[in-house]
Amino acid sequence: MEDSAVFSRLRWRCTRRAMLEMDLILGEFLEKEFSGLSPEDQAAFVELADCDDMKLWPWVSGQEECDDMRLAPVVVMLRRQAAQRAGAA
Amino acid sequence: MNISVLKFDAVIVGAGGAGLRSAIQLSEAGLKTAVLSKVFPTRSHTVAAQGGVAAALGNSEEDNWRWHMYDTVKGSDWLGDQNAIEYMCKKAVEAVVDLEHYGMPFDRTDNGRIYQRPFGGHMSNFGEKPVRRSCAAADRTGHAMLHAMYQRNVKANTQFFVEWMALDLIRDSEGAVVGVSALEMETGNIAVFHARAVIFATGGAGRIFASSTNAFINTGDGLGMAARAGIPLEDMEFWQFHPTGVAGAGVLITEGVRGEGGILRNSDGERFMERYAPTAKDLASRDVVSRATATEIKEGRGCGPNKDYVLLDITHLPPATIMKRLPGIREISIQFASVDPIKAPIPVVPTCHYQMGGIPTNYTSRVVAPNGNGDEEVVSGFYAAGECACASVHGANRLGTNSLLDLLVFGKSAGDSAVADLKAEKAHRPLPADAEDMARSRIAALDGRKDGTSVYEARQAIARAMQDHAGVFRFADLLRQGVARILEVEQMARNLEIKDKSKVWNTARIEALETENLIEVAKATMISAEARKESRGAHVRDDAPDTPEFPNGRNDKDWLKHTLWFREGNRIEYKPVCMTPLTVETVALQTRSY
Ligand SMILES: Cc1cc2nc3c(=O)[nH]c(=O)nc-3n(C[C@H](O)[C@H](O)[C@H](O)COP(=O)(O)OP(=O)(O)OC[C@H]3O[C@@H](n4cnc5c(N)ncnc54)[C@H](O)[C@@H]3O)c2cc1C
Repeated sequence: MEDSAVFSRLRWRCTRRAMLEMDLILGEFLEKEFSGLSPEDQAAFVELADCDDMKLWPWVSGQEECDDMRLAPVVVMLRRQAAQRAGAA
Repeated sequence: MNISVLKFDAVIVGAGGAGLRSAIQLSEAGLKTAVLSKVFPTRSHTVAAQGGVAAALGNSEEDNWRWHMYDTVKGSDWLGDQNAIEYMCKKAVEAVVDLEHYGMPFDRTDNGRIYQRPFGGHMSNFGEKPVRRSCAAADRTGHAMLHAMYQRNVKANTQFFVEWMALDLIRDSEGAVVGVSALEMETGNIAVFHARAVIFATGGAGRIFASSTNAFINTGDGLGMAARAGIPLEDMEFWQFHPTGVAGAGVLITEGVRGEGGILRNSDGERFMERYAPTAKDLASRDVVSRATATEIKEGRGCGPNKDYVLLDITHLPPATIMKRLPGIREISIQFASVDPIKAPIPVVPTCHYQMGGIPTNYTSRVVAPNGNGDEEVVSGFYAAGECACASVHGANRLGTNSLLDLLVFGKSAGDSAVADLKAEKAHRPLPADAEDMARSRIAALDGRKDGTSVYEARQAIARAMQDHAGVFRFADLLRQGVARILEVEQMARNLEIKDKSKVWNTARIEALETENLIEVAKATMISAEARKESRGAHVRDDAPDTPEFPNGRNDKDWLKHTLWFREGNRIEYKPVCMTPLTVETVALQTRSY
């Protein structure tokens, strides 16, 4: 698949989630942060976007710690983004 | 363009609660069943349902399906069909027991029975006092339900077509439904699913409003497809606004918060629901609480710098209760409202939440439409269940936790009805020669158009028009202007241009196709709302106020009837409400108060 198609698929999976919360958080992150990530972190984000919202939401909202070493740094970035949004609100 | 034809006994569009429930019935009956979904099944929006599912189990205190039925009729402001409501409330216990058998991990009481909590509008003894009727699996009721039903379907060999978008319904020259056309996102190819039964379970369309609790996926595709195929949409003027969406973001704060003791307060710190609903208070039905809130805001008692929200207060609850009984609420509040609800109240506003109307069905989930002789008829081969359908059990206003029940009961009955009908009719009806023409020409038009409107612009225009003209409170002049405005917006939505013409994973095209569905729902809503000149349930107009002749503005003499909107010519017809339950006495008309 071409890069643009891979990105489009990722965009679909970030903005057609089960929960509005995750549409908002992942969609915003994809727009604003994704292109600036290292290839490893981009891969981790793609993997995160494939997780169920009920797994992801507790991580992103800080109710649970993500114990996967590869994914954890991106989870932290997602939390930071959410915290910034909270600050701006 | 490549067109392939895939043949199944039954095709279900939608893999949320309603779709998965009906698929179980079909696959377990040995029928070859396909389920199409825009997303992986367990990512359907049913996951978002946290509050629970209503069933008069009577585990925590005495309860009875007749009381549940009474509450549902009253909640519906008498617009619900009483045969369908009886059917649903009676079948509720069985629906919950089925789920237990599928492995659903319900919360338990100390003695091992399903734990039940109170929820707005659910009362004991025909409206006397709140009753505990909602069954939940922590804050993961919808998620647990989908996972249990998905596993069951995998076992039963249901075939899933994931990241496929159904585009249009296929009817033959006699009007029978014989399949759907669909787009595979990964290849951009269109296929025809040829089937003896088609079940729509495509969920809601809450994204027509600017402020909504619904995830982005809720674009009303099933309604758009039905409308384009000449099937009317029923009672689309009735949209439930949830009283507690986080101000700004729309994200829902579940009613369970008020169930556990949360209180709404205005800028004076007053518990204002005591004035509007002296008995049920903060647990009154959603439309009552939403309008009370809107009234507080309108009369200047809103909070914040713009006085445009009220506060949901749980600071008096022990933090341990908040963490145990309401997990996730604290985090939502911190993330989307910057407030820790243990320390300070949460800013909330009424937010579009649930669509009461939809594709008209009877209580066996068969789609019905007028036959031109003043009667209605089953549309052969077509079934619908869940939020996209209108059975109608919610009438003018849905009670919380009744929609998970709706999708379980009517999802099952859609499956059972299809199984029964397929036994009687063994052969596939032939596909018409133009089976995929509509889908193909819609895509060709999108690909060929230059100087059109962008999808973003069209969606904004739809959402703004709906928010401005058809919100919690409705005004005659705004509705009239709204009709003109939405018809202008329709011209934009019919003239969409996409820059990306590629085939594979073309999300611009997919979103354009969704937008063509949103506009149908928006028109149906605005036109039906303008036409209904009374106040009832969630539809409240300034020119139909509370008077002695018409309490709450409800006019049963002229308006105790369902709206049917037809896409062609934006025509409206009405049909009677079924006031005759299956076995019990009619719940007689009364003024609705809590
Ligand atoms: C935040 C929130 C909380 C809620 N809480 C509760 C609650 O506690 N209790 C309760 O009773 N109700 C609750 N509701 C309402 C309830 O969740 C929904 O009404 C219900 O889940 C809808 O289920 P469904 O099966 O009809 O549709 P969904 O679960 O929305 O599924 C729709 C399916 O259709 C598919 N689909 C749509 N269009 C297409 C297409 N064109 N092609 C292919 N597939 C398509 C989707 O991919 C999806 O699989 C809540 C709603 C919200 C928004």
